[in-house]
Amino acid sequence: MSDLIRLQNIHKAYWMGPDRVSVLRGVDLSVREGEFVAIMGASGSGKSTLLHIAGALDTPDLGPIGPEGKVVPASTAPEVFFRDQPLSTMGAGGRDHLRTHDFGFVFQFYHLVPELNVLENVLLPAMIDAPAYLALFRARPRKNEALDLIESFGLANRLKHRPSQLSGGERQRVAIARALINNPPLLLADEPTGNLDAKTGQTILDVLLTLHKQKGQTILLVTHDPHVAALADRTIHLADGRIKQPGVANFPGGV
Amino acid sequence: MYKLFLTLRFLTRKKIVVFPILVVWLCLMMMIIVTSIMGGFVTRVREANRDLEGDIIIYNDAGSGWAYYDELQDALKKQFSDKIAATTPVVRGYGLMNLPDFNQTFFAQITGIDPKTRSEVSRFRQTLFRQYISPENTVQDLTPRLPATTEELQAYARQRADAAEQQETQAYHQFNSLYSDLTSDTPPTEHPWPNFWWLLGLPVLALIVFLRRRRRGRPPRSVLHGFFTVLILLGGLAVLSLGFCWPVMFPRTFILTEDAVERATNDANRARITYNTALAKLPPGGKFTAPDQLAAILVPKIPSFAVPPTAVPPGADPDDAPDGCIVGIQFPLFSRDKRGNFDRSLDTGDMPALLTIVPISGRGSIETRNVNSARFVIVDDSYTGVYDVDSTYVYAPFEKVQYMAGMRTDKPQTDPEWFPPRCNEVLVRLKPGTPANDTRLIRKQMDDFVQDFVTHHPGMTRPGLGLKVQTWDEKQARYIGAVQNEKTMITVILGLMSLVVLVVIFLIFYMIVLEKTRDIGIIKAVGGSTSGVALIFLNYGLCVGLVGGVLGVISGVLFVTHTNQIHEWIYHMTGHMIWDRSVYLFDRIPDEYNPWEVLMYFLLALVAGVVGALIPAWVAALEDPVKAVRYE
Repeated sequence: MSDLIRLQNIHKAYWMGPDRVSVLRGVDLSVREGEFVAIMGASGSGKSTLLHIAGALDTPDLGPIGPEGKVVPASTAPEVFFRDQPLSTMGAGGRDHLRTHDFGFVFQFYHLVPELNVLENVLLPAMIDAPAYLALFRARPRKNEALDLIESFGLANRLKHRPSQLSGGERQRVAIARALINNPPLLLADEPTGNLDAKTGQTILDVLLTLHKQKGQTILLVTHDPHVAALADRTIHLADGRIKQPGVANFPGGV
Repeated sequence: MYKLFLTLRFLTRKKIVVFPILVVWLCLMMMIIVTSIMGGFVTRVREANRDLEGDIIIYNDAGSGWAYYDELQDALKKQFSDKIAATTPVVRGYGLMNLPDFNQTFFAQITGIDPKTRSEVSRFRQTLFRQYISPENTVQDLTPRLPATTEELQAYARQRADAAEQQETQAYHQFNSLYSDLTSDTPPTEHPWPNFWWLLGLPVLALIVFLRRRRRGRPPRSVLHGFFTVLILLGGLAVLSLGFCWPVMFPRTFILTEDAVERATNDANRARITYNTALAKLPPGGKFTAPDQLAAILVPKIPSFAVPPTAVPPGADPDDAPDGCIVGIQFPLFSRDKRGNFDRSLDTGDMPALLTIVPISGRGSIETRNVNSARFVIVDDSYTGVYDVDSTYVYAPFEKVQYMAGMRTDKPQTDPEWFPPRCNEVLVRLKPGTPANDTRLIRKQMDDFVQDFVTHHPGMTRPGLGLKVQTWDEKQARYIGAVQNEKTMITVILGLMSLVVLVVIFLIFYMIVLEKTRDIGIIKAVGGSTSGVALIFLNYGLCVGLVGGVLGVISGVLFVTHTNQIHEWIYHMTGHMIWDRSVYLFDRIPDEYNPWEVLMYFLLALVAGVVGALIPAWVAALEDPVKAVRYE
């Protein structure tokens, strides 16, 4: 199986007041098609940043921070490859397109649009590329897709509800449905259970596992919970901006 | 697609957006109302000034006048025979009018005119009360522009009679029903005044429904919110119930009805008399054949200064009889009520007046030795609608004023002290239907001709002074221009005030963007582009402008076209006359609007919406999605 996404020598630093703090210091990671990879690490270890860079929401620095507090370009250029295409050459439009069609995001705090109801929230990514004048002709099949998706997540009776009228677990299921509406090859989940109690969190994990097992959905998941990480095919530990130990192969053929 | 969709959703599901819409609405309504009324003013002023002194005026500013005006008129008529309809000379004398009956003295511009030619050149005849407007009645309806041609008159008389009769029937009906209501014990069921204003309660109720909907399954709001909701609800109910009960509680509408009946009756009577007079004298076959037949029946064709016999004391020497004069209606001796009716309890038909003219010498100083006074009788009054004219002009026979102003001598021509008679102005009327551009062209040709004429007639004017030839709008430019400037200035001031709209839109949109930071991050996370996010907010601004603009245009235009009704309503509810006709010149508040102007303001509202949203949209577009989605 080929690499769906490959991160190469990723560096990232943030300004914290007057200082520059390195969050990622040369991370290499690749995820194969159909793999379920968990990234683990303490708070502030850079795992969310890594996910955002992988998902083209954020861009990596050119290299590490040198002694003078400036970025020193690395010899191996930091780069993210999606299906062997470097993201840095894509431009803003290409990255927007990737986020719409190839990546699905699930966040810890659900991040649904409060003005939209469940159906509208799920359909939001489907509307990104659709021109307004074609909406009249193409809306119906997309809507049916969304309805099927929502129904499969057990939210069929919640279609017209707004996010504020839903429970946490329901919101997260809506968020997953939204992430999947464009059938993205890669699902990026940032602590999807972090804000839920254990029982509800388990239902969300079940949803993700089912997706992975039945449809072969590639998932890159960030968590600090070892129980969650244990469900993944492979777990990567981040500490001090580096991968602490190589991925533990949970299944034959792992790295 | 998502841009449009999110715009619409933000528009319908964010309550705060009501406020920028409201501001755009009110501001646009204000702009339309104020500029329409000011624009109406300009139109009225222009209309009143047009036809006041003909199309072209030949004059100079020497107080002592200029000679050979008869020769000039003949030459002009010959040269421009296909263009000129009529000409008339005017002589002006500055002086005083004293009313011995009241021992009052006013400053007056004593204007010597020939009534016949003056009426051909201007609408002088139509401004006269006794001789034209209302010979039979003392309640007057001073329409500034009355029909002049026979066909117009005929149509006008019929139309007036029909309309007045209809109005009268209606008013009587209302009066009778109200009268029976008031005399019976049951409250009135029908009200002559349309009680539409309870409809004001509907938007309030709509607002409550809007605020209260979709509350299911959400935590209850604060006590304060409940308090305000109840307050608004009570307010809405109060407006509704007041609207229904007001006429019963305060039957002041009766006063209005009585007044309406009186006005309608008077109007109908007047129209009926006019119409009946015309009908009675209708030739066999029921059609007027000669062009001036009807006009001759209805009104004296030529106004005159003829003094009624009652004003001449019996046994007086006919040679010593006073001349008639006509005074402007805005002289302080006529008071005016709030509705604009002039008090004509003074019998102007035979009131004596003493006119004094201060002759001006050739050098421009006052010839104190020759100050002339003469007895006159005020035989009529004139209402042109131009305040400066109506408040200072006293019209008197041409030659009489010439003598008094020292511009004519009765010495024989052989006498060394003889001089040719002089006048101050010659007014020229062009053939009807001459376009404004042609008027300007003819003025230029006429100017060349007049200058040539002056050089061939030595002693015609004071050396070096010459004559000016101007069109009516050039002569009145300063006056009309002042009103025009006022309109422009008010529009500019209002426009500057409307910048507040931009600020309000900016503030509220900025608030929305700050509040929506996370949502903007989400939109970007699912692939929304920077320009797409900016467009959402620009669209949003455009929609606010559109909704506010449509509401503003509808309510502004409705207000303007119903200004007089609303004004009347306020008067009868409060007893306060905002448009006090004793102060203002025109009887009706201008109630026409310029559609192009309205369209322009509407487009400006759209622009304001977009411009106000520009910076917030920019801020939103530059939002970093990572920061936005990181935290709750």
